[in-house]
Amino acid sequence: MIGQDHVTQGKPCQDHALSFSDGKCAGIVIADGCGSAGETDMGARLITFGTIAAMKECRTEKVSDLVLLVQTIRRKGREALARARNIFCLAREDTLATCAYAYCTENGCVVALFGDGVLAFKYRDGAISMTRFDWSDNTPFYPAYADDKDESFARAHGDDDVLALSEECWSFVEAKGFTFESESKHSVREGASGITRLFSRSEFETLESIAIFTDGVTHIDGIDWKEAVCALLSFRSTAGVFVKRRMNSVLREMRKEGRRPLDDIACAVISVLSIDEEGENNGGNEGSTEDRS
Amino acid sequence: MPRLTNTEGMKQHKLGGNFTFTAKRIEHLGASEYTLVTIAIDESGSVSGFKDQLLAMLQAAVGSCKHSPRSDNILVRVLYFSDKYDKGTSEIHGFKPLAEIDLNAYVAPVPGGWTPLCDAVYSAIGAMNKYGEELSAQDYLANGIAFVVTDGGENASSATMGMVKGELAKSVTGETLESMISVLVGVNTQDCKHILEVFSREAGMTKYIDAGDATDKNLAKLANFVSRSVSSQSQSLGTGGPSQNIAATI
Repeated sequence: MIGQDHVTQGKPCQDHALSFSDGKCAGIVIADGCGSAGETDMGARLITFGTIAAMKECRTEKVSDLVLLVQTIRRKGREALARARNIFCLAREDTLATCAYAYCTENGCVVALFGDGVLAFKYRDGAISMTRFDWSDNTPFYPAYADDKDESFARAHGDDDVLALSEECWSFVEAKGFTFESESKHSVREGASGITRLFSRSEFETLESIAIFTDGVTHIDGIDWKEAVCALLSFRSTAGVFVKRRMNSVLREMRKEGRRPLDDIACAVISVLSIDEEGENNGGNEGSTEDRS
Repeated sequence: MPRLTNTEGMKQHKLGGNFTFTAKRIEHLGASEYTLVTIAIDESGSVSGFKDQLLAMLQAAVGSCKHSPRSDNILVRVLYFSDKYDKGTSEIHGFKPLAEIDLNAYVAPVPGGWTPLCDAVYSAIGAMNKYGEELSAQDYLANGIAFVVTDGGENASSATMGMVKGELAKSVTGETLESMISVLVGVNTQDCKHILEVFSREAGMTKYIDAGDATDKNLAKLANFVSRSVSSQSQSLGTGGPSQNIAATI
């Protein structure tokens, strides 16, 4: 969804989201292009396509260890981005975009974030856990910095050990509302390595959905980011383009109150079927983004 | 009257008074917002002189909609009405995407019987309200536009004017459909134009349009009017209200 600021400035939507599912595994990815760099709408798309391609290669190669999965997806994603840069003669500035993804298999699930944004997990008991990541000076990490081993990025924040990435975790339960859970800081080095969450098979089965958002969800005029996340995860069904419908519906209601997204928003969700539901319909997962000018 | 086949992915729904309609299964829909279009055509005995022109009008209207830039967001239902049918209506096809409609499969009306105008309007609007409610419940955005084409006044319905008024009133609350435009079109109605204007007002329809005599030219203009109106209503989706660009005349 294109943000109001991009509309007024004549900029394209620089967020993108993709997903895939084949019944045995599912993957979602989002990317947020740097607004002040080059053709990062293109870069964001290359990152999402490259990450999905990496996930599919991992599926083909039957990579099962969750830690190895994270390393392999990152390596293959970087290789795909480098190949694409060569083919399309893109400068580094065109590929400066964040990346967040989730990849679920029979062995469990990996969630990784490189940059900023929000990770949210909705559990079968209705509880939602959501974590927001922000970089100081609005200078997030981009995977494209790997071409100089992240040195320029570290210099921008001072050095590798500077605590530049903040993490703020909240939970939501219908009966209690929002509860602040924790706040922490990560060093430049840790942030550049990526924030990861690993779910074993048994932990994964407690989840109803896994959602990843670009930081645009934290910039909706007049709406607290936590309320926005909860509203966007209140799916009425998980058939078809369910994420897009929910986002359209939520933003439509917000616009009636004069509120609108200031920045582009991309959102992708894996909806996890329980074993009982599996016989009734297919699981849904969807990456949703739109360039709506 | 043969119905267009291809019931794949369609589901039957019930309205009050044992009326039914069919519509594409929601889980098979690809877009996130739709304009529901209903075209109801008089099949009473008095249309026998221009049944082929009515067919041509239908094919031209739906065919033009297929070329709309919003064609992926339009679902069309077509029905014929005459008291020779149970409940006064025969659904040619239920709400389905334009891409799935074969214009060559439409057949000319087989005129006979009297004019169940209340049945036609009730079926048209009631079906859009019901399907719109289901779409809205799953976060789809939808609005509606209906065209009821007739050459005579009401004289044979099982649905009452009260039932018709109820569905039309419900259709404009904005609770299920974002907006609804309902158009009663009179063809060859020099003698009953006033009756149809009164019917339209009493039922609560958006407007009554006089299409004039049932000539090739006038029915071609009617097809163009239908297509333009559908396009305008579709483009108004998301604005919170109905299209302001529906022409007052054909």
